[in-house]
Amino acid sequence: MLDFEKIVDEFYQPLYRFALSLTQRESDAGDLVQQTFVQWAAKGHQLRDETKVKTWLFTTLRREFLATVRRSARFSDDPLPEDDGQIAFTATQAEQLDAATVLDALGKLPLEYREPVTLFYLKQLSYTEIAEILELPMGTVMSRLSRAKTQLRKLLIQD
Amino acid sequence: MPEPTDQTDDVIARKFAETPVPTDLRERIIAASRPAPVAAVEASRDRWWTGGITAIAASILLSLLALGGLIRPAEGEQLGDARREMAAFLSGDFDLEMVTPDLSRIQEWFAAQHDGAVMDVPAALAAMVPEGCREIEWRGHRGTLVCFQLPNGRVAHLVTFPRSTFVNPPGARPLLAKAGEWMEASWTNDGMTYLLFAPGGLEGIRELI
Repeated sequence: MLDFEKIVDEFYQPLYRFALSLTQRESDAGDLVQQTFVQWAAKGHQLRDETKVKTWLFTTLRREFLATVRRSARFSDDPLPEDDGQIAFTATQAEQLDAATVLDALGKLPLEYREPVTLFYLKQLSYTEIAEILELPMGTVMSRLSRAKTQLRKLLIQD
Repeated sequence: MPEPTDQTDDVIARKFAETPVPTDLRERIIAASRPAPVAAVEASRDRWWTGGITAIAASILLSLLALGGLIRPAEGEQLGDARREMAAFLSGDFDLEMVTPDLSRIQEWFAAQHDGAVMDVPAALAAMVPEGCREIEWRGHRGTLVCFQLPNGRVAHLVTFPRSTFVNPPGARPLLAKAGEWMEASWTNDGMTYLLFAPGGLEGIRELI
């Protein structure tokens, strides 16, 4: 039997950061996380594989979010440009960076790129898990992630 | 297992991890997912003792707390407290002030109770047949209760208080929570906060909002 509060303690913070990246609104992000755990309280016992708790929670949160946004606002028509090489920060740029700037830059990415790159920067998920959460083939995830990382770095350097 | 990253990725990840998380979020999550405790809701006009010994005990406790200055309605209430205590109240016996299947009559009554406010009934809920309505009083706050028959023979309850009742009212988007034997959706519209209680699971309440 999985302990509810232990699961909350382990995952509510990364789930909130993922939700905040998706919604860009603190109140909506909090609501999404709360609803995700309400779903877990109701349905979590059906999960047979305890190693899947993390991907179940992230997948559920994402589905909750997608259910609330209209299709027209969900995906952009314009793909990001091809990855044109890695951009690295100088020590000064790295020092000047803060959480709000990162969140703001993530918010400027189209959702289909924001999702994988946010999950990547949470640093708790493998590529396989990211693909599972986003319900996409691994190749698509890797392609979007590569473009998103490049674009995000450009945005952060511009700021 | 986290994937390998370069130094710039590490910087971004570290800064992103500094994004503050609301200090009350953990408590909100726990509160929204745990079962309801004892009822503490009083009827305002009719037989408040119909709830039985539990309601009597709760009333005495509330009175003592109020006399001791421990409950001061003007300061605002927690939405989670309303959710839990209303859920327990709705699971007991209570009377309706007006029994009618006519939603327009209930809407007129609602407006009279809430200084002319227009009742926000989601379209799916409005398609259900009302059973009736009543005034309720909770911790010194006046509110209303409207009951709807569901196709499965059970009943959904729409509780309404002025938004100012709560220190942490929900937003316009319905917030779902488990509340005892009920699923509950709460939202705020035009100065009024609504708590809809329906039997069953998430799917059941989603079909009503």
